[in-house]
Amino acid sequence: MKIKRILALALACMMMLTACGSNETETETETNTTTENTQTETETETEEEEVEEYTGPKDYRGWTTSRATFNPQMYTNSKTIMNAGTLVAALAENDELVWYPHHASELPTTTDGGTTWTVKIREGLVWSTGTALDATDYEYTFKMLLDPKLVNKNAAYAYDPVVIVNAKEYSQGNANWEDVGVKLVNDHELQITLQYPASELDFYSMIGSLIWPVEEETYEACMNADRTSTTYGTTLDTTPSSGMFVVSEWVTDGYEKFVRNENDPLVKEGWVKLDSYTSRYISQNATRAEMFWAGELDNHSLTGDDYLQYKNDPRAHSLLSANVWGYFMNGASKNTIMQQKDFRNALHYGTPRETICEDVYKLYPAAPALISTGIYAGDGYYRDTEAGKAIAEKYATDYDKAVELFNKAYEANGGQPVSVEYIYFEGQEDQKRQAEILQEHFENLFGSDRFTLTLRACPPASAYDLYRAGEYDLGLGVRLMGNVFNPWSGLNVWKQDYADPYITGFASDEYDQLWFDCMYGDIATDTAAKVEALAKMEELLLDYGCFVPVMQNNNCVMYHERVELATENYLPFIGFSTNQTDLIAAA
Amino acid sequence: MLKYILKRVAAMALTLFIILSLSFFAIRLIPGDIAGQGAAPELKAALEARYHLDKPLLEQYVIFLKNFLSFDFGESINLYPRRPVFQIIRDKIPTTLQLNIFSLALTIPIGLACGIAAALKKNTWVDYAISAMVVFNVSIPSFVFATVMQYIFCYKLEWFPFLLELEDSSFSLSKFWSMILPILALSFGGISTITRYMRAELFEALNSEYMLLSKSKGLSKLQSTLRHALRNSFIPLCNVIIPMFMNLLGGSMVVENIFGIPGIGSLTSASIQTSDYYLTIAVLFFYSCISLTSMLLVDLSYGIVDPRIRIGGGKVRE
Amino acid sequence: MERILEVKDLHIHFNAFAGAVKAIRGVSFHLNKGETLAIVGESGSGKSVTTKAVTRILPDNAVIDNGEITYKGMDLLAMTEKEFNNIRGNEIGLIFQDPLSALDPVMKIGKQITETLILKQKMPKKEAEARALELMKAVGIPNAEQRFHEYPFQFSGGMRQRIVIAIALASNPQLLICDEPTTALDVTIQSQILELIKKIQKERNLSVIFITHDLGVVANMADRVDVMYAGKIVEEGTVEDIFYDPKHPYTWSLLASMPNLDTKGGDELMVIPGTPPNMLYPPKGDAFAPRNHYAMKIDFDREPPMFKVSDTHYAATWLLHPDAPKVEMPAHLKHRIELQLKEAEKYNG
Repeated sequence: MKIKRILALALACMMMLTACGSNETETETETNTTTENTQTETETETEEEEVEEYTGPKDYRGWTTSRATFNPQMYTNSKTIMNAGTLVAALAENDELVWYPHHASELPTTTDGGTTWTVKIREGLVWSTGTALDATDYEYTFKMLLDPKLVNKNAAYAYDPVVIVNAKEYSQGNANWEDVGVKLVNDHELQITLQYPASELDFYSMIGSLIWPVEEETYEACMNADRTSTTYGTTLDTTPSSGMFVVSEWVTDGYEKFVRNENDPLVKEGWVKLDSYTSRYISQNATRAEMFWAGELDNHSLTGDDYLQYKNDPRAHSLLSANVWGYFMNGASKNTIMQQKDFRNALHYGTPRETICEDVYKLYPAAPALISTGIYAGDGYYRDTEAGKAIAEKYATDYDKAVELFNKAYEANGGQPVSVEYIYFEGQEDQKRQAEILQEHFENLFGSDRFTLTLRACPPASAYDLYRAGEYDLGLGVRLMGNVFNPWSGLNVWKQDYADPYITGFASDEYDQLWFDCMYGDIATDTAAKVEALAKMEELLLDYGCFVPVMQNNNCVMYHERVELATENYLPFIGFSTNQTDLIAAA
Repeated sequence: MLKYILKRVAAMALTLFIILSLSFFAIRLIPGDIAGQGAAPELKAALEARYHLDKPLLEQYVIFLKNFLSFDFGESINLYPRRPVFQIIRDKIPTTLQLNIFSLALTIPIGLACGIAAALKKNTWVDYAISAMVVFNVSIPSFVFATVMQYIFCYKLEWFPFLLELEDSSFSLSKFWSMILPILALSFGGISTITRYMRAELFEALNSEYMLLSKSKGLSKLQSTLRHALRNSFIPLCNVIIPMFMNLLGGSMVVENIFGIPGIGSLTSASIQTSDYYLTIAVLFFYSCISLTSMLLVDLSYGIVDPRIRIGGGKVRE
Repeated sequence: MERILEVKDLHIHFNAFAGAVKAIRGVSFHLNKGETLAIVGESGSGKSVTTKAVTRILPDNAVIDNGEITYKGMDLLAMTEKEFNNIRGNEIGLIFQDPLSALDPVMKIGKQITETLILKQKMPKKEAEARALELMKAVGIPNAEQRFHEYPFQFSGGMRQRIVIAIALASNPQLLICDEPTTALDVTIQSQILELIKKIQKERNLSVIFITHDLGVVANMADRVDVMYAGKIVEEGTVEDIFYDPKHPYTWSLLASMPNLDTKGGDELMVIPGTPPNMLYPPKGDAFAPRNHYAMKIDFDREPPMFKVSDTHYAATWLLHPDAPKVEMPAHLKHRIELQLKEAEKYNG
């Protein structure tokens, strides 16, 4: 019957439409993959007039993707542990980063140029469970952190990049605890001995900020029979707090709530304005967007299209990423053209990074060099230094140079048409578009009769496996820079003796030596020299052509009008200093 | 009957063992690094030693079986580090269960009602409307439903909260209100299934000769339908309804993600993506148990509900 | 004799996908009180449809164009469904062809019998059960008390048919319509069931309409016979009229095609060539004409009316027209009938 046929046709059309439509909603994800977590940072709002001081409840409504555990020795996202204090705290004051003693009674001191450090602990500190917190807790913490049987993820914080004597050896079962450079002088004093001297900045930002204490009683109670595992921090009951906030509610994969800890010394000094901070676990970006615009969330991470619309809105604040994304180049590939250095350099100069950022990412700036603009070196951002600027200029995008270099490489390779394969991550719409732009651009630039770029999508894990095996030509990816204050440590991935390298064929003794000098050698505490060395290392890498930088994933966060951030600018290490956020109106 | 059950349980155990073993080997094939990208090589080595990943595959298998049989299901590697796998699954079940029970309480009556209505009024506009609804529900994926519903009812109309209310563990009206949208999103698929089945079965039943006999006895249409047709058409429905009960424990990944429900749904894919071997195997095992048990129950249900099978193997006398 | 059922000029068509199928094209017959009327015909001749029309259990796509059905003076077609519900079961009982599909497979047979009693006659349960047991015994089901709680599949075919009969009799109907009740049973059981029906009829003074295609059954059961072909009655008369003095060529063919005890192995059976007509496009003249050995030209043009042979005997064939040529029934049929008459005389004699 006619009606039935029309109905069937209409339904078929609807089905096809939803199939197309749903594809897009499913694959539109932020380029923030795997380990990079969007920070729930806060920022000051420039309000000219001082309105009547808001005295109502200040409960911040945030969001996050799920928390795996509250055990600070296992948890990898260091900056969002609001309920744990550390020896020192990095705080925002007058739009600058300052170091304040938190559990320590004064900033740790050294008398021998950075090898031996004295750490004094405040009197009267307590855990949320009521037990006292003193230097014995810290000694216990170090001991458990490095325990060879427990295999804690964050054990390396004690020996990389700042190396505590025999810490690594102890964690591998090759030394006794007595040999380790952590000594309890008395109940409120520790002495930490390093293998190599470290600067104040390094010590405060590493040992001072990334060693969160664990509460001994709970830790022991949660230990299993053969002491290989502890369930500390896996549920609310097993999570004692020692920081500016106390975790008061936690539903796994549901939400977590932090309440201001009136017993905390920094809280007593008035650094914390919020009454509570609630983070709901919301994994869908669409839901978060809707909730924010409905006024139910206090911050929201903008997507590319939103950014264009809101980038000049006073509520929008850009973050500085520590990482530069681009693609690896395998100079040791069987594909002979890849072995030509000129070809690799041509790819670097020829990459249309500005176009890609404008068209695809919109909110991410282009990056011509390997070190991001968020990396701090000594007393300023590295990219603002003379050396840093020079590198960026030298390696800026230059299509003419690209063609020139390509021609040379082409001839040297035998004048035959060449084809290389580019790998990107499956399921990421942005990366797919980037790949397509690269393909079209390069084939036009070099001539499609001479050069073809084939594209291949892989799941991220598979892609990285291919890089490890050296079975690729070009591959999208990033090597994460864990520490904004110590870029040299993050550059260890290019060393010849690095245990988990991606094959690029880069091997330079000069580079390795520079690295060692900066980390543990003569210039380890000489900022100026280290900056020069950093520039040289960057140059070596870009000159060889092991990685083409494309963009820096500076996300942009939009805040609710009632949010007043602690700092105007994005500060290194603490961003907008979440702990110090203030709320100036009701929800 | 008892012998039959025992035989089936034994078969189930064998099937589960095979599933377990296959999963064990299959999961090792997934690319991925338990230490995560950029981890120190020593850490990677230590983790691999800790989880026996450095041993030959067969040896790992033996260790795994030994532990499994002594109810040691291991701990999660990355997803919830150091948390016992059993505890993870156990803690997530109640949330999913609560939601799914409500969903089922909605699905079954509505599905039955729609199916009965469609069968009784076959080829009228009622039937066409219901059939269109069924096709609609089945074609459109649940995440599209859920997303669209959230957009319309939470964002535009502001009738419902965006996410499931988790603050209070006790059951309150506002909590129930926040459960309505996820319950609806979960129900649509089930309603369609039951409607289709019911409609087909009831229609067949209505056209059988015993309905004619019933009519010729003088029973009114309503009486005949209620007393004869419905009873006959319910029997094959066990096939569909019992698995739905078992799926109460399953959870839907998509709906749970969209409404912020901390349930079991996303556990499978999350554990596979993070190469969390023990958790993955435990979850797969859990789901396999559910499936096999539901199949067993369906087969048993026929024996209970359908007298032809219950009594029938027995004598047919002259 | 009192007429308990009268059907006048019934026209019924079905709305099928391909069009309107004219199933009944002007059927008239009557049933006298206490007698058994057999309606005979091929498959598709319209036998079941007629009786289903009487009990108004036709499917939804059936349309009664024309006609009158009168039962005990009441116009059945004019009644509302609600009113008619009281007739069904209480006044008219129906027995089906296939007892296995006619019974609800998942309801105990005892309950199926007591259902009408409880629902329609509002009998209390105990009384209804007692009555059901009585009925079961009356139809010859052994071990009635035990078998009361059993399901249909636990009975053999013959037993099931007895149950169907019991159900039909539960509300004491006056008219019993049996729609080929023995077709699905084997011959020995068949005779049992037929005996049962005859017994019940005599005991309760029922009027019975018996539909069948088996002439042997007709000879056994019927007082009067109506022969149907292609939606019309072509001949009606007493059972002797039909068997010993058939007038319609179709009846001749039916009788001749039946093998009997004298048929020897190796003899060729008489068949009626061709198939019944397509009732989407019923033929203009006599529907049987294409297959009729004795068809005349007029048979293809106009339908023959019912010609009276005697007060009890009518046939719708142009051969009975005064102007028609004298045609005798086929020789071997005549021969057979003579033999049968001699047998009957000897028997009765």
